[in-house]
Amino acid sequence: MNKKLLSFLMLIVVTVVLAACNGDSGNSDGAGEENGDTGEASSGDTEGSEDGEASDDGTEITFWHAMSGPHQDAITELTDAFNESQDDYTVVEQNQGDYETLNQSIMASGVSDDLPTLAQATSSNIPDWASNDLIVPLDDLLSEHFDPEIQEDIFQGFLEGATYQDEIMAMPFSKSVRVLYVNDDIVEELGVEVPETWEEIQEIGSQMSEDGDERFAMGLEATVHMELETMARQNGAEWISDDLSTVDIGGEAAVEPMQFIADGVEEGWMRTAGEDGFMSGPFSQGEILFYIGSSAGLAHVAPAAEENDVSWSTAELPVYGGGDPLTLLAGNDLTVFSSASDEEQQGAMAFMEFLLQPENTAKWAMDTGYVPVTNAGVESEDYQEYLEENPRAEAAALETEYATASPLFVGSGEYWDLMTQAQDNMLIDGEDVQDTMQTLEEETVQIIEENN
Amino acid sequence: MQNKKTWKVTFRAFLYLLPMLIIIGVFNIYPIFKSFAMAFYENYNMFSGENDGYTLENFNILFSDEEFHEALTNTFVYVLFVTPISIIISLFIAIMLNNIKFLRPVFQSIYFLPFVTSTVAISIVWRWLYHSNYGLINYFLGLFGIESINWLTSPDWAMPAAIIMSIWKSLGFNILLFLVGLGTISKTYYNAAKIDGASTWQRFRNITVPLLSPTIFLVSIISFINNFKVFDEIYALFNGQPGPSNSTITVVYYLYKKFYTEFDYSVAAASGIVLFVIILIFTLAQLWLNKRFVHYR
Repeated sequence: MNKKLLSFLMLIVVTVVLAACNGDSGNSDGAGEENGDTGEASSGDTEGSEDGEASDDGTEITFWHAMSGPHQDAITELTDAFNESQDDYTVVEQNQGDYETLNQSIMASGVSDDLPTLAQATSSNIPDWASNDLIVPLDDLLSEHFDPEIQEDIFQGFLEGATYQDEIMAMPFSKSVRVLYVNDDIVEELGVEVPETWEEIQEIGSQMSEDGDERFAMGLEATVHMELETMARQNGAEWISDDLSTVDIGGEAAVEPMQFIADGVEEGWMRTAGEDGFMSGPFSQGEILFYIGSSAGLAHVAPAAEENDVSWSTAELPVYGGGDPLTLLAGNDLTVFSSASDEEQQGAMAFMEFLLQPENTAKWAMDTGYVPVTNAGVESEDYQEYLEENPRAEAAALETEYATASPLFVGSGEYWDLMTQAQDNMLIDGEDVQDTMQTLEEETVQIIEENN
Repeated sequence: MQNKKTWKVTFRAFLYLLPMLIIIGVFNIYPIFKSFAMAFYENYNMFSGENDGYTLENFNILFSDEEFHEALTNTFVYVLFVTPISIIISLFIAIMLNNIKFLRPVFQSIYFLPFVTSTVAISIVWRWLYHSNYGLINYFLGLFGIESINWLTSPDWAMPAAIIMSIWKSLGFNILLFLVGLGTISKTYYNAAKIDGASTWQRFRNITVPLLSPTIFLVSIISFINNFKVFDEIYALFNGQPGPSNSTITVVYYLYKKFYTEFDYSVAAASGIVLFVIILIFTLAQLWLNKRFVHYR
């Protein structure tokens, strides 16, 4: 009996241990997608340049980011430049993998009290971290330790996108907008104009279907959330109001563009990236006439298009329903953690101030494909010269004028998941657009009410 | 050297085990108890560690969540397909490999490669194989006049796609274990059977299967437990989504989503416990079967 009991206990222990040994699985790719960045260059190793030579160079500031590949090189360069420019602080930058892994690291370190001084944050991270008091509001720090001239120069929409419950929770840093990618070869072949409205695209698309052209007139990323919200807001829908009091996802002005997308997919001239992951792939193979994607994807499209001998350009986003031009911001901001000492927080502010100086924000934009976050950055000599040499970057720079942010709220991750599911229901399973959008609105209201 | 079972000897043995016990304690045992506790916390804030006492509400939320039912169903479908099919195929391959001497290490390495390759890399390759336009799989199906299948974008085909990839991926490890098992079966049995005129099937049925049954039992327990925890394959194959229209959400995926996207730590922990209980029941059932059907020499 005793032996039986013992072996039973052993079995439980073995099951528990085996069941718990879940191999580390967080290594994802394509995680930055939700924020409109092409996450194609996925998680680099968590190397970090942690060779602590910091001791005699003042206070050490730890900086966690999710930049890999050429973006990581650019960030290292800027960090080194900052460290050389002054003696009070040494910034130690550490790559944490992709956005998803960075968020997991922050959550784990939040529990074990081991947070960095500052980190990159996507717009869905900010309210989550803020509501758990992991990050500090920057208003006071800004007024005491930040050049007001730079602060005033930041594009208004960018700063609004970093504001949560009337407090500035983050500093805009790597901002991208949506731009229209244009396949110039097909444009020439069909003799069409680069469209300024969705109606024009529809006309071109219908014509292509009629002619039996197997290429697609319009491509969208795997998730159409950002395009849908953009079109709906151009069309006069409020979508989610800044104070979160109104959710207008099921209204006519929002349902209309969704129906438009569903019809385009149904008619066969519009498609989402779907199994290709990112539209940059099919586009650079010459299968797509136009596609809307992140301006940060420029660097991904260029080499692939060149390989396939596709000539292309970019243009400002088309407008839906005769409204005003509008584009949504994506990318990431910089947050400062509450666990950091006053001195470290001041160091973080000094680092941010450095990053936002016109030549640096311009340099960051030129190296990565993001847009400069200040007027002075856009107007800087370097950047203007860069635009002249790289006309493809111009559309994004022009859009900074009317780029706006979606409001931040706790539960936005859940809301994005629901949107994705609703999109699949409408575009794959063919469910009724009006009903699905109405349900989505109700669910969104519930998420906002429960969490905020 | 046979020591008597005295307290002193036991203590010394314990000292030797201590380093490992500490590691297991910190990284396995403590998290297990902590997550058990988490599942019963009311209004748990992970960062401050605060909670309002214990409650069963989390399980209530869990069982009334339709998504969790879907996750359970999908997980069962996945396990019930992947485990037996993988065992049968790998047993077959192992027996074939056991019968050839030539090139055996080469084949063995080929089959073992998927097991040591990262799931993310494998999934990227399979995403291409499954591609509806350029995929090799649809190309071959086309040769037989079968219309191309939207493996990755159709909710009906997403689960089969995940299952096929997982079976392929798990073969190597199972084959390795079976080969070890086959190596322990003495040739004399087969020779004797041959003299008695037993056919290949009879030899397989009456010698290989019974004598290999401890290995089959081991492989099936490991596979069951591993397959119940499926997450990586889904996450990577569908680009960080639980399949089109949520069609391949599994229990661990659900747990991940509750934890990292919705910050429902307690509900996530509760779903982990449900999975644990399911795995325990399955393991006990297998143990019972083991007693009845497995032959230990």
